[in-house]
Amino acid sequence: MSTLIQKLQQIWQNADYPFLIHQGRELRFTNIADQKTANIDEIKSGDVVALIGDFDPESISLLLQIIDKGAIIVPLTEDTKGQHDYFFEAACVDVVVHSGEVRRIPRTETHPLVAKLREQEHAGLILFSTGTTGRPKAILHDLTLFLKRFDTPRPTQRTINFLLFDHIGGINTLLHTLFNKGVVIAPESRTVDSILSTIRDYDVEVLPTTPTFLRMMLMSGAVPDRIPSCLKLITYGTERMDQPTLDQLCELLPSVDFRQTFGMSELGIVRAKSEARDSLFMRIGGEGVETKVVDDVLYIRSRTRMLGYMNAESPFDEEGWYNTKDIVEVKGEFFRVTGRIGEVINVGGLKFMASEVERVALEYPGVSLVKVIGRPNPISGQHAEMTVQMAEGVDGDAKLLGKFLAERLPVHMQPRRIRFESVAVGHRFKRS
Amino acid sequence: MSDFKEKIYAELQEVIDNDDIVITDEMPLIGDGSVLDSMKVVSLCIALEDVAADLGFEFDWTSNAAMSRSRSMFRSVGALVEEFTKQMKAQQ
Repeated sequence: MSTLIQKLQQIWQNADYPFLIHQGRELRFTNIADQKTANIDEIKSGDVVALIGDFDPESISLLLQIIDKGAIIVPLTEDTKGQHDYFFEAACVDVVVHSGEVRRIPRTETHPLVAKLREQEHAGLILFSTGTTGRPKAILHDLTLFLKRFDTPRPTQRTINFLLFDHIGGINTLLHTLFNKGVVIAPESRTVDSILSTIRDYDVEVLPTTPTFLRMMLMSGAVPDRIPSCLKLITYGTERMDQPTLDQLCELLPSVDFRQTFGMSELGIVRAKSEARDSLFMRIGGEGVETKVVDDVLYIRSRTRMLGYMNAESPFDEEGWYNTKDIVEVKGEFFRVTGRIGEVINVGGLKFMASEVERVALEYPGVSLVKVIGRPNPISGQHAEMTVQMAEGVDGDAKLLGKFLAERLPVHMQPRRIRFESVAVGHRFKRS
Repeated sequence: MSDFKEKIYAELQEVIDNDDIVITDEMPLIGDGSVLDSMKVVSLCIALEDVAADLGFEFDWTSNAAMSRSRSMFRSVGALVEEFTKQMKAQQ
């Protein structure tokens, strides 16, 4: 049986164009396959391997090599480094690959889901998501099955990979492009200017992005005059889009198509089709995907769903349905997401639980009670605000507490406002 | 320069956290030439809510009505000051 790298080499053998444009460098697939990387000889089939990287040639090359070894890969980025130790434990990571170094973490026990994958000699993929217990959940997918979807060839266009290395959408875009001889262009940075010049310089046709980025693009004054004519399609997802933003975009960019995407790491990739370019209603489906609505909440059953959480109970009911916690309005076969159940805060598409921030704030000396809420705003969709009650006789200093949180939390999770006042007694995050 | 404009400039200076940068009305808040990232613009707006509360009015930058004005409101420091002034006058 040929390896993934061999299969891709065959797909790309007669291609005379790059598969990846990264930091102005054009890379053929042969460059990726030949890329000098950390020596991963010691990684064996079934190892759980955390790869800290980004969409750069070395990380992509390592990703493919690790999959070929039949290992279970945990893609992580520098942005979440404050949480890496937790991620290593939750995912039962055996090996960490970071900046050319390979480090083994000794383990004596095997997680039952990992054992199952090892028994089947299948590669795995672990991603992290938010969850109602407050800590990010380790989501395990059977990567060997996940890769089967790419056996069916599909058309590709020149696409920016705007999504994150540790996100299922980012990994899916990368693999889709590799298997279908597309071109992925990695932007130098995720600012409006950088993205627009990347689109212009490399004739990008598709921009997969978030409503937050689109709002920033509108506010920057770049629309419509600085939007390159090569751009044909903008897809948006990972957070809720608002109708005023979509209306403005559709009016100002009449030749660009807009499509909503819908996905949850737990379900694998789910296909969405917008009712119209200016509509927030979408049809959700795809091969092996079923939907139902109970009490206005959307439930999905998918054949490509995860094997399970490694650090939490299964979220699927006995019949395999997953509660998306998205409140939807139904119009025939189309759904529009109007809200969400629970406490998930979504800052520019990056989701986290309020309780994650509360837990860190409670570690600060003198803090007695904490409450974090997500507040809507037109720039990043939402931001976190925190109310803190200090222990009796202790004065709170917002600057010092802010600094403490900034050292421990990624930028999107840091509260933008800290208020010192009493928090309702009985709050579940009272320090014990 | 009016008192509240000075306060806005002071809040902006604090958010930028770099004394070498001289703030002007023309300075863009978002996009080309901006020295702020999106989360810093959010922090600035929250600080302006407090400035407005001290001045006895509510600075609205999050409602649907504000969102439809956001393209012009966040274009430059001057545009934000103008929006702030407009809201202050409307509520006094």
